[in-house]
Formats: sequence, structure tokens, C-alpha cells
Amino acid sequence: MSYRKIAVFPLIWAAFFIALAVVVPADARKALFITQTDLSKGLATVGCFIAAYAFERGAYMRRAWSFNAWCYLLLLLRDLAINTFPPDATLFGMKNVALAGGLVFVANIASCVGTAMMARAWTTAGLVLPGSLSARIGVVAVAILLAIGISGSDLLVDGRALLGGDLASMHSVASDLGDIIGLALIAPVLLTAIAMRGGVLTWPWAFMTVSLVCWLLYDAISIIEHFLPGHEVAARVVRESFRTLACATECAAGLLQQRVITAPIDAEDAPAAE
Amino acid sequence: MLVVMGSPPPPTTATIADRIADRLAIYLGPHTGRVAVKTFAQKALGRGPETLELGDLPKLETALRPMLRTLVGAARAELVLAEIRRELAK
Repeated sequence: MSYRKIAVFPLIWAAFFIALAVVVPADARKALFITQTDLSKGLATVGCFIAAYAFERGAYMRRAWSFNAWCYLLLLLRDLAINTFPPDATLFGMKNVALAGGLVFVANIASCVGTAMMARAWTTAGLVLPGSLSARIGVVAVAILLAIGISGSDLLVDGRALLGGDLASMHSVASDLGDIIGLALIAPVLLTAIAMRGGVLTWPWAFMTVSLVCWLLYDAISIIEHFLPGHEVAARVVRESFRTLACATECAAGLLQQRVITAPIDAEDAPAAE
Repeated sequence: MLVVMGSPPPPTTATIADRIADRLAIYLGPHTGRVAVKTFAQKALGRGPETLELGDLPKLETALRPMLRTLVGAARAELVLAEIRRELAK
């Protein structure tokens, strides 16, 4: 499959589910969203593992992609656990709700480590990101402010609940912290994609950036929908579409990374530099 | 540029640094290709890319290898280095 065909795939995947969400009856929509989310997380897991195993054992990027793959796999297992068993069911010697919380907690750690490794790949390779130091700091600062602005209020609410003794809020706090760290790392990943524009390596990094931006928009819509009474269904469809797009672009990023490493390079594969 | 079949190839005016940067640009993009040659020529040889000679290639390869291995893996890194050697042997 060519770079361009892989690049178009997330749009087709998301468009398919948007069309389904519009045409299915309202009472079937919940089941659709669950299926859509699980399939998309499964895709992201496969894409990240494909990228990881394209690198040799012990390679820096193999570890980075593996952490991202484990994040999606654990989130998928969490979804399967909460959608298949009641919250108070006992699985592997613990309550389902506690197991789900633990899976989200570990998944968020894996996501943060994986994304941080991606963000540091450039420096690990011995290169310097483009732009002046002040411009780079500016871009990172904007990303951090955006991340806190979008997920900060959730962290405050969940953090208060946890401090008040609600242990079920633990996975929400982990998820909020993971969101803030992951979203703040958009800046260095974006700068890496920009630095490599015109080369084939820009493909996976650009798609990784798009995936992180889609997660940012998914979180942003979770906040906005509280202020849109009467539009809950439309907001849910848009939110689920961004989650689907985030997972599908992560999968595409992995496939593009694998292609850079294993496939012959054609002159047409490199995107235009300007 | 129009190349007539059978005529000898036009003489190249590109420097050694340009030719290495062009090879790296396929993967890293033109800007980073040039930056990489400059950075690793300084690191490995302590001189600017404009001073590169064919004899400097082994040391430059050694300096470029970890960067390429990080970004494209060991096998592809060796392919890229082989492409550079082929390009400079022309």
C-alpha cells in the first residue's frame, strides 16, 4: 500500500462510522459507539505493534511504538471488561471497577512514556529541532496551556473526589493527567514533523501529530457539550468521530513508519517540502 | 533540464556535502538533510560541511549511523549509508 493510500484510510474509516451513526436508529447508537471504539482501538494497537516490530530488538523507536501499542491494548481490554461484565463482578480476584481503573492507570503511563519518547527521538538522534529557542519554547508553552485548559478542570473535579475518599475516581485522575501530559507533548512531535517536511519520515510524525490533535479535540468536545443542551446526540457523534479518527490516524502513523523502514522509496513518496 | 539520449551526463557542480544531504533528504527532508551533514561533520571532523572530502566519508558515516539507526532502524540505516557511498563513487 502506498503512503497516500495509507494516509486516506483514517478519513474513510471515520466517515464510514459517521454515516452509520446518522442512519442507525437512536436505540442502536450506543452499541454502535462501543463497537466503533473497540474496533478503532484494536486498529491502533495493531498499527503501533507493526511499527514497533519493523525496528530491530532494543531500538529506541521500537520501545516508543511498543509503549503506545500497549496503551491502546490496555484501553481495549478495559472497554471489553466494563462492557462485558457488571462493575461489581470479580475478575482475576478483584472487582471489575478496580480492574478497569488499574488498566486505565497503566495505559496512561504507557501512553505518556511512549509519546515522550517520540517527542525526544529528535534529540536522541543528535539533531536540533527547527526554529529559534524562543519560538520552540513558545510552541511548547501554547501546547501546555491548551492541555491544561482542556483537561485541567476535569483533573480538579476528579482530584477533589479522590481526595474525598472516592477511590473509583483514581482512574479518572490518571486519565486526566495522561491527557494533559500527552497533549502537552503535541508541540515537540509537531516540530519533528515540520523539521522533516519533504522527507518520507514526515509521514508517520505528521500522523502522530494529527492523532494527538484529535485526542485534544475529543477532550475539548467533552467540555463543550455541557454547554450545548439539546445537542447531546450531535455532540456525541462528533466526539466519537474524533476518537475514531485519533485511533485510526495512530494506526496509519504506525503503518507509515513501517513503510519508511521496509519499503523501497519512490521519488513520489516524499511530500512537498514547501 | 533536457537530457539527450546517448550524450554524456552533465558535469555535476554539487559539493560532497550537497550530495550527502540530497541522499539524507529523501528520508529527513531537505532542511534536516543539510542540518544533519553540517552537525555531524562538525562533530566527527571538527570542520564545516564545505570542507568535506571523499576521505572524510568513513568518519562521517560513523557519526551519521546512530542518528539514522534511531530514526529508520539499523537495516535501513545501512542501506542509506550504502546509497551515500554509491552516490559519491559516481
